[in-house]
Amino acid sequence: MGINLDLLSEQAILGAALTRLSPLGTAQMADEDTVLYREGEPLDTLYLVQDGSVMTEVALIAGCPGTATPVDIAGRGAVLGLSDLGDGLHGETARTLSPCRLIRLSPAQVNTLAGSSAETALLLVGLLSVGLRHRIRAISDQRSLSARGRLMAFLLSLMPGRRGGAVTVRLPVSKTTLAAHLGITPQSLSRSLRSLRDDGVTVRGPLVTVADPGGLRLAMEAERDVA
Amino acid sequence: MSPEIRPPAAMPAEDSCSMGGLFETDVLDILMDRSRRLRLIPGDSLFSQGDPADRFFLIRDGKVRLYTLESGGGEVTLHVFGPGDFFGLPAMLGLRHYPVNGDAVTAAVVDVITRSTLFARLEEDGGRLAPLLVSLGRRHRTMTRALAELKGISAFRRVCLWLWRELEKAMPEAGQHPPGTPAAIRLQVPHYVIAGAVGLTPENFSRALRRLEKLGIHLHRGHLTITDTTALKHLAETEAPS
Repeated sequence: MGINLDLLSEQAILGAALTRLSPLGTAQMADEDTVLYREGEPLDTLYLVQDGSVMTEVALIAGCPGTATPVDIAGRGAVLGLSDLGDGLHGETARTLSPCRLIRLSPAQVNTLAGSSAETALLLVGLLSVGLRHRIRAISDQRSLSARGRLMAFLLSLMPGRRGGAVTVRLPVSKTTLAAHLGITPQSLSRSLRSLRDDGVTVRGPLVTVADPGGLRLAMEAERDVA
Repeated sequence: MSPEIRPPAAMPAEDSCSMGGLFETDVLDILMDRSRRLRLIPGDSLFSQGDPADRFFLIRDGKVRLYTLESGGGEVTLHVFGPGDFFGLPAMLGLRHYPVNGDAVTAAVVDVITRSTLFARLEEDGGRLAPLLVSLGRRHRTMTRALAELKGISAFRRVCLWLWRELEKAMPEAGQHPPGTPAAIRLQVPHYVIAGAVGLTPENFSRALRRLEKLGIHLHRGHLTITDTTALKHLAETEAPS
């Protein structure tokens, strides 16, 4: 077997997860705001996201759901629960943000497959590496970007690869949840959204229009420089 | 009552400065025979931002930090790794270049595993990489919690939480101390490393230490002295008014 490094880019890893793992499980549709699993529950299913988005959150005080803090929004190709294979308990709570098409996978089956197939083992290492890179990026942004900069980074993450031309997207979460996801207060979020008007960002309810994504990206990098 | 000073725990398996603190001997066994060993002195660079990411590293002893350079010249410490941690793998798998810098914080012994070694191992027997999956998963969980704390806990409380965890490591019975119990422990990490671990600039970390001094908690030259351990526990568990 030859291992092709070019297949290890993030998009390739997520694509490979969909191709290789989808046939192994059973399909499930989940409505918006469905809790797939809660922090501390035994790991009995892994969820491959085929379509839709899922928010993961962690309680800052164990057993206190009121202290839950959003940590990530996972989309197509993500395998939820993969980081819990070793401990056998979920380390976070997963809640759908939109109607989702999911594939339920058995942890035992995934473990067995990883043990018998080098390509699958590499795919799973790659999937976890993608997750780790996202965490490193998020921690870095949290430390080196202002609230306004983190908001820019979040909005740009909703329109990956877009450079020119106006883009309108729907916020995948309420503004209260978005504030928690960015690590700021709702009041600070409102202020940050208002301050982005000069950068061509307009908000109407849950819809956000970015007049020039490329320009917003430059503005975000400038925020990183002065933070 | 003057507190007995406890030395730092020897070679902690779970280092709160590190992302994982995992000493997976299975992983070592798998990779050791084809790795190269480096002995580093403090400040030695393992890689710089933009260098080709063709290897990852396993720390046998000492500490290594990952950081980025800001355009103004400042440094942002992202993580400090300790014995048993491996790092550089996510960059090696999927990125052509390291996105961060990696330097030794202390004297360190590091094993280097190249991409070709890892892939050769995978081609021989992918199943033996299962411990690596478990380690990466645990690190992912540790970083998830660190991210949540960064978002949801004030900077001052993060400092208190970090100190409390160090105290609990050195004195596992600290949680049962009656009010008014003093304690003193030695820490092996410089202030800038602690600042990086809790996501503060050194200046803001110094400010937090000055605030703590007024509350009877002193950190000076690696000596942490606490007049009342229950006060530190309370500060670590609840948000104090700013």
